[in-house]
Amino acid sequence: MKTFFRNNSLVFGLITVLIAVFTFGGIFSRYVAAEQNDRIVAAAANQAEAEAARIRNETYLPMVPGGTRVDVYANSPVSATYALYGNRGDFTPTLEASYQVYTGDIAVAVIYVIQSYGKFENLKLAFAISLADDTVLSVLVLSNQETPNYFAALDASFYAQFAGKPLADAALAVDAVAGSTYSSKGFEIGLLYAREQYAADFGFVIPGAGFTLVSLSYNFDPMTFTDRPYVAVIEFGVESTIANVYLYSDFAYAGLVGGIGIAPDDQIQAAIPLVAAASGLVSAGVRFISYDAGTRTLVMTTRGYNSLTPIQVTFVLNAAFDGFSDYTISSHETYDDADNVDYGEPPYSGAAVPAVEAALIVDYQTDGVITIDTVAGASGYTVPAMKAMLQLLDQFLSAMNGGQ
Amino acid sequence: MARFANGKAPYLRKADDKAYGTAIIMRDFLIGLLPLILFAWYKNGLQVYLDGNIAFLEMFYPLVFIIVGGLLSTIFEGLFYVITDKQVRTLKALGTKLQTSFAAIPGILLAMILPLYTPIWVLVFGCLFATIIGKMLFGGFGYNIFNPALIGYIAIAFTLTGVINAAGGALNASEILIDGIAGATPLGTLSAASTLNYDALVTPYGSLWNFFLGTIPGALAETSALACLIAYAWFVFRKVIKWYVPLVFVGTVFVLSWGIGLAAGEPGLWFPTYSILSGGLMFGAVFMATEPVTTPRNPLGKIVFALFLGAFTVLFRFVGSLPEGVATAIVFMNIFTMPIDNWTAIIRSDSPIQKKTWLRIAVLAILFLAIAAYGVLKSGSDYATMIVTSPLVRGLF
Amino acid sequence: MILHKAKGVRIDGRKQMSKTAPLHEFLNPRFVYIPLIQQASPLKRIVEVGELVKIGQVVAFREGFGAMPIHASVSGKVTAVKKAWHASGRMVDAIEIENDLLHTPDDAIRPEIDPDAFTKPELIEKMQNAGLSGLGGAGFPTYIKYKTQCAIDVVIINAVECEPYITCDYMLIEQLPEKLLKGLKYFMRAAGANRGVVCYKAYNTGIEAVLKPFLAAYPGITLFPVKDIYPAGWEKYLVQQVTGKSYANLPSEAGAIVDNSATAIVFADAVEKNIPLISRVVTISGEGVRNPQNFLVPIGTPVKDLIQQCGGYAEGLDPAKAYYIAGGPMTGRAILIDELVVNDTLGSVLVFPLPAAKNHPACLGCGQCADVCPVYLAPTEIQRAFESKDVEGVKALNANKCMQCGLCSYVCPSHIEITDFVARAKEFARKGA
Repeated sequence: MKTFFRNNSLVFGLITVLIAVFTFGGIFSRYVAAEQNDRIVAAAANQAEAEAARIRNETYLPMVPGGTRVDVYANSPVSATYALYGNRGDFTPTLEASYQVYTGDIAVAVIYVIQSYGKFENLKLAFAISLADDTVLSVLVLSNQETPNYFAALDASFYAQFAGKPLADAALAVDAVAGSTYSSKGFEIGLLYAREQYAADFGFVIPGAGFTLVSLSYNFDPMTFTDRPYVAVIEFGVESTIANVYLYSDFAYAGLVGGIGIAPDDQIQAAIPLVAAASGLVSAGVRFISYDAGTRTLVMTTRGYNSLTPIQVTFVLNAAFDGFSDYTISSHETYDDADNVDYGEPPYSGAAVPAVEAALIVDYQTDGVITIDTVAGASGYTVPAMKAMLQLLDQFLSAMNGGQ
Repeated sequence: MARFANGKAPYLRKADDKAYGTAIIMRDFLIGLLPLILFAWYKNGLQVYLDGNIAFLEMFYPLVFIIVGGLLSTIFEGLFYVITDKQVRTLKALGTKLQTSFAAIPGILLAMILPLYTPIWVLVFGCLFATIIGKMLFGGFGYNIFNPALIGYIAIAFTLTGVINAAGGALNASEILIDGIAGATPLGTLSAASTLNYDALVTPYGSLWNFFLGTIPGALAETSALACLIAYAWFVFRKVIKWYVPLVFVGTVFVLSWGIGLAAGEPGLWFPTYSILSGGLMFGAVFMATEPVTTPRNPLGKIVFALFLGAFTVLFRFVGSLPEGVATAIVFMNIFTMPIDNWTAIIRSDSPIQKKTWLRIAVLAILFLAIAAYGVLKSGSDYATMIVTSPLVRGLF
Repeated sequence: MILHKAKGVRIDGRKQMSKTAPLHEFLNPRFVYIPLIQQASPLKRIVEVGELVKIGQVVAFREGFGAMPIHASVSGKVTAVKKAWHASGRMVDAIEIENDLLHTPDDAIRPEIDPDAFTKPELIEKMQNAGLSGLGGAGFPTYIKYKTQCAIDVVIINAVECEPYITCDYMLIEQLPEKLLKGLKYFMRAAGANRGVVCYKAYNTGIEAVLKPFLAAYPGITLFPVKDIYPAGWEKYLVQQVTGKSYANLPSEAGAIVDNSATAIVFADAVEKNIPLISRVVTISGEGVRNPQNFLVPIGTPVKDLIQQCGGYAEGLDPAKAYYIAGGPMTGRAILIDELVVNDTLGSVLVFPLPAAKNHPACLGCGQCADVCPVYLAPTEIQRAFESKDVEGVKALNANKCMQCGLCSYVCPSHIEITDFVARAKEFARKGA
């Protein structure tokens, strides 16, 4: 054994040297490679970060004159609801992102990226607000699904109105472009929401409407509810004057109830719709349209998902005002489509439209209580809309009954 | 009456001169390598350390890598001799054998053309391939057909590139911080960009001066054209290589790249200059194309070899998508060294030139022109269709 | 334009050591041994052992191609026909003549009254009768050259002496400059040429100095210095340099005849005094000789005597580890036993120690051999073809053009016997055909 080693000493010697070189070299190279890998990961992260910052700067810096960099701003999104223009119901905007713009080391503006709803949803707007004087600096459309022609009609002057608009302006209205009102109103909702967020982040006090909304409810008076579907009690002024007022379907001031009381001034009148709509006390989609006392025919409307076609039902009320004898669905939103044939299980599926709307009405008609809770395929919008309408009907019947 | 020694004429030999011999050749070769090794250490070690991006110990890695490469190929060759040759039993005998076999060179050259963060075991694998398969199995020094360092390199390039990239790749710690490069060497950028645009190909790395000096990402020690020129001047002065071989090789690539540029609508001289300064071409021209054992042995043969090398490098780099145009071209041409040697010996010694010899000349000329033309036109049209806009004339540097 | 312009390489001359001492006449060897062989042709002996001979007496005949008489270089008695070592490296038959030291000339040796009256054929006959052969080392029968049918414009005298160590031509010209010019003049007349050119290495200003004073008397003769390269003394190189033309086989195709300077000097004596070729200058040189110098000696002189004249071998010289070379170091031949005799072509005998043994690598493939080859061959390719027994291959590589100058082996860094390989390849191709 020993002679074997001695005879082949050169081979073993060389192999030993080889192993030594391999080992020490390997240790060194592993050390070096590990260090380098760490650095590569760090560098990649830095580069990704730099790229994101570059895109941010590219997109948002033009909104703020004199801005040098855009940083992410951490905040908590506030929640607010607004009425969509055209009686299409309520809408809650979402805050997608918040940024702060710096000049040097000083924060000069904040940018909110908001998902609003113009003619259609997913109207993504960015509002830049100057921190120095609480004014809007500019608005940027990031994406939209509006009708192209109408959206293109929003010209330079439309956008120019945002520059310098003070948030302290209570109404904070947006001048719409004729023919593109829906889109314009989408901007308004976005702006209002931005102010809400700004108030929450920076302690900005949203100028009071000048009044307090004490209550808001449906107008059950058949004589007046056709064009003035809501009544509200407001308290205003230094002396806390109380007034009962009618409101139009867009929550605009429609005069004192019965002409009694002191009317609020113009400024307060202008501020009423916003507060009323934001209050969430009534749903803008559900209301009475008309009532014929002679035939006891009540026409109601409600809105589900379909912004174009509301659900309209005509009820013929009982003489005892404890139910209705007949109903006619003159407009509905569920439809017969190869894909949507099955609204839930029988008896809806396979039945002719408007099976869902009718089922709910029949359900209520049966015992005055809605037992149907969900209908697959229609539970998001149609069912709640029908429920809201039937509940309002219930309240109307009670009112006609003297409270029954 | 005295008995004298026998011998064959001539009785004067340069090889008997003390100033001649294997040790001198080796010494001259290593001195020639010095500018490149020093630059490699500076660019990938010292400079990065001074930038503050690596630790002190890491600074020596390039030097260690190259030395280990030389050691490994020597050890492998020694092992081969000891195992296969009964005569070699002592260290002294081995030393004698290794004295004239230039054992360390394949390892050193291989280490110099590998990326910086190649793991040592990959280098071991490469040196094994280079020494045993590329050199010893052919019969040892003087009998190998292929350039051993390039055999090792190709073995690694075609199998272990992923491993090398995972271990850190070719960029040193300062280069990974440069955004514009995005972790790619110039040829990587070329194959990704597919356009002949100065701003896409050159500007991320600085200017053509950077290419010339070698301050661009690349393999360990092959980026600096300036260092290669210094080595070239030294080698020509010491008559280690022939001056015209690198010139013809680089010149051919220059002219053909210019042709590609013209065909692609980019007539600026910057493109052929960029072509010859990137991809380790200068290194290959001075150190690999002049490797005496595997390249032809008469002047005309060397020139023809260099011409074909230029044509194939252009072909492999611009038309094919092979990882290394220069290395593949050289190894490919090594196959044809013997026929080229034979034919050019005949062409060169014929006076007057006979019919059969004219045929040989014609075949070589047609082959070369065909390959060159194909390379230029194909890649020129490839680039032309991909260019959306192209600056018409770009000045040099 | 010449497609293959002859070229060469500068190699270290080492001539100074044999130039320091003046040219010595050593005309009294005890014995001379006239070799009975010239080039490769055996000579026909016509004297018998015991016969008395005079200087210049015909003792043998060369027959066949280049037929001419061979003469005794000393007067005395033919004592034996012995074997002697010849410059070709073999032992050959030689006529041993014991020198009676009387220097009795043969009757044929007498001065000519009007040497300028000789016609071309008469001069050529003189060449033949003098047994004149190329003293530069080729040993070619001179008169054959002048019998060419080609028109000759110029006779070129080769005083280049490009091999290292050798200085015999230089020393002889220094002693007998006018004889050189006379010999050239007669050569020109024998060739029918108007021009005569003396070629010598440019650094040998001594030659220029001794010849210039006489040039005025020899119209048509000019001096032509050449570069200090090897093989500048190659026929083809000189013809290309002087005439600007090249040739395929013989210089006469380019209108030139080339002859060695010593040959011209002997011819001058042959024309004017009918003295045949009986003596020549030999350089004894090399680091292994104590006092290197040149000797004017009778043909057949034993070199041993000359070495003795030089003071013997250098101190501490080990013959087993030294070369004893007949001829130049590039094209000469190693002689194993130092019993060499002077023949017509022996220009020098060199003794120097072997170089230290070194470990040499295998063929590097550097291509230096192909670079230096004056005939543009690729020796490694020829070796390859030879080793694979490829006759056609060897022929295609023009191996037959090799003139054995030895430059390829000289430059080879791996000490490969490449010249020898090419010689063997040539032989193989010739036989294999």
